[in-house]
Amino acid sequence: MKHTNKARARAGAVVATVLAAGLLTGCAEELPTPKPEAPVAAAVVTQSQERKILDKVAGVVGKVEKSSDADALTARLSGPALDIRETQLKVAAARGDKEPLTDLSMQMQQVILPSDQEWPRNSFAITVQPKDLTTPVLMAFEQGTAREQYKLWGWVRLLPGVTMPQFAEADLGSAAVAEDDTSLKTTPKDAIQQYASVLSVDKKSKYNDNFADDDLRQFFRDYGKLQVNAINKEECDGAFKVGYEPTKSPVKAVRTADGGALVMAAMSSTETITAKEEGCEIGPPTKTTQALWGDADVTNVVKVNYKDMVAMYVPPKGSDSPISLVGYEHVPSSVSND
Amino acid sequence: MVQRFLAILLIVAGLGGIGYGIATATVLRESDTVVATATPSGDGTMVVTEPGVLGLVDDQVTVRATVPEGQKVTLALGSDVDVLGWVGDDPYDSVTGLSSWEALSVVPGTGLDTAAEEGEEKDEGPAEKPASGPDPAGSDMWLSEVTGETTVSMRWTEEPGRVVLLAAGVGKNAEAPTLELTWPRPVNTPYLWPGVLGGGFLLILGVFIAIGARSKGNSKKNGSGKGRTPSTVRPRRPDSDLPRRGVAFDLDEDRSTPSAHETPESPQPTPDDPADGGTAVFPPAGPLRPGRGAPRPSPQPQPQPEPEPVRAWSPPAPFGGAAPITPPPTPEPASAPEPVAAPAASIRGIRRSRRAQNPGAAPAQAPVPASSPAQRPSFGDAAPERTPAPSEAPAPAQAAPAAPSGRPMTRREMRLREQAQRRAATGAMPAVPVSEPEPEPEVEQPQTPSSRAAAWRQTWGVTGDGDNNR
Repeated sequence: MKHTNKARARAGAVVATVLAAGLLTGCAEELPTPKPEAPVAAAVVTQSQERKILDKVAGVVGKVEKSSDADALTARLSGPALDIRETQLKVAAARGDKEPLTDLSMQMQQVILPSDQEWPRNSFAITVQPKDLTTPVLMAFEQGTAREQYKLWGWVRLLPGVTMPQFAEADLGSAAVAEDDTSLKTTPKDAIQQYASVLSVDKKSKYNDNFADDDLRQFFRDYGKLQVNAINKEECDGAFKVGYEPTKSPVKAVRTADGGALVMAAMSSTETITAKEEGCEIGPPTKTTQALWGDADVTNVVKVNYKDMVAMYVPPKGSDSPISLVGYEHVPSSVSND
Repeated sequence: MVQRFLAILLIVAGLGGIGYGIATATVLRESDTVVATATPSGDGTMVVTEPGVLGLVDDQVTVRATVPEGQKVTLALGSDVDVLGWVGDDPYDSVTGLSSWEALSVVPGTGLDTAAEEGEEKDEGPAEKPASGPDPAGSDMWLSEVTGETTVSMRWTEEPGRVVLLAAGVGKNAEAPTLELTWPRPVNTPYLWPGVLGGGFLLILGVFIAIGARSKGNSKKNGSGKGRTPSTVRPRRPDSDLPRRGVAFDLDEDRSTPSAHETPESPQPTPDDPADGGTAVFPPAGPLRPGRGAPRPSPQPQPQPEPEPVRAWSPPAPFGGAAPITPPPTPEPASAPEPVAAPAASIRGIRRSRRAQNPGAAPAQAPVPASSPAQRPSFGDAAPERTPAPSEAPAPAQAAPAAPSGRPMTRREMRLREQAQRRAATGAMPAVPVSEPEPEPEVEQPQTPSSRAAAWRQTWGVTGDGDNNR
């Protein structure tokens, strides 16, 4: 009997333990609290997002090949890019071919993503070499406000053989530089102002020393000489003049790895070819200007208006390097005879 | 009686423990998911989660947003900066976490730090509900989005970064949607195994006590319960029933068992004893073995009677009839030594012959790879050497099954061996030579391609040095 009592007690203890343990299970776990990751310095647009954005923009640009469809561009183009593309479409319609249209297929070899959380946000991208063997295109995209989409804001064709400045890793993002940022050799806005002067009067500009010589300036020299020579052949005393002006649209700039900035801005320019000799008449010089000329009367003056976009590298303050052009777009928009 | 009562108690407790353990893992198990709902406070048309809320319970979250019937609702995922930037100055509700396991805590949103400052400046009328809910659908900034009517849901697997959810009622008279976040939750069942194991222990204990109680009762009654105890398996044995039955539990009776076995058949008890559990059935099957083969011994005797019934098994054969159990041990040693010795010699012989070939063939190939005729003589040499081998070969072939390890052969091995033996029996010479040359090329094959290649190279002046160096 003793034995059984003991055993029973033991069994009872075991049962009690099991039951007690069981009863304790129903208790609540502690509520978890959110443990957000600390904000990190990174691009506000990921590369995969950028890819989608590029596809969407390219889709819109690719569909619009007629001037009449240009309204559709507003969905994904803004600012100078919209203006220039509309001009190109117009010119292409006048010429009857697609040559004036810059190849805006968006296969990129490099993207420069924004790191600033505020709006407007800007990203830049460099295309691979286009199929027509023209130089790659540097594009700028802008998201004006949080509720807007990224839109193509502007582009330039890079100069042949140009070396692009280094940028921060795409994943880290590159900071935007304000128009009036003073950490540079000149502020971005001033750089554009000065460059307009340099393009207009070339070496006579007082800012000539700030800028390296470049293909665009050389182009105007050669082109001007060509036109003047052609007129002088007829002994009509030719003259060639080009005048650049910045537009009112903002100047975009993004920080480079060395503390400088890549600056991009729209400009407008007018080239004037004159035959000063009495009785001389000259007509439009190029196929495009001929198309734009239409059946207007010829006079002794040809004036061609251009829409321009320039991109340049502005070194950081105190640098010995000059400001240098990296690319430009020069699109004739209208022609007149006075 | 008391013992029986205790046994029942233990069994009941054991079953209870097992049952409870299983129940905690099944019916009493906590839900696999956490479903928490956020009811909007009424301001604004948008609800935004704070960073970290989506991954609050688990990395995988299913989001469901509901708006009044027929209205449009959009769910979008983006970084907190993007989402709050998009929301801007509009009033919204912020989901800050769980207030209970079923409810999310919701507070009026304060926006980004910068936005908040701006908001303070514009403090005059920020909280007014917009007439129409803006639609965040389609923004470039969203990682993922979904739009639908009345109810939409989306799944999200947490990624690194501060991803937040924006849920917006869209359109005229839009209202902020009711959010429901569902996470899977790992539910652990800490009482399953302790319950089952502890219960099982109690159960077994109870059963043993019950059996003990019963066997006591049995020993008193002495006649009843034959069929239940394990010892009942033994009645077929020549020994008397009575002493055996009690063997499992009664020491006194146990003594009688050995005494019963102290007959000339002394080897029997040893194999028998382990069979106590019930396997003791097989001894009676013993006599049948030569014909049918009992499960264990069958593999060995079965094939052997056919090929070499006389040689290998003639000695045990008499045993087979008389003592069923002893034969297995005896034949094994008897057969084992014989074949082991024979194949060992023959294998050695083969090896020797191979070695003999190799030195002949390999050197012939290596130094003078170009000369294919040079190989022929070596083959010729090898062949005569091998001729003695065939005579040995059948022996290894037969002995092989037992020889390699002494372990019982598999059926395949046996089949192979039978075939080999049959071949040997029908035509010793043709069978063996056919199989013999085979190993030879097999051995040499690895060499031949390279040697041929080398020969080719030398013949055609392609230098093989590079290869050799390699």
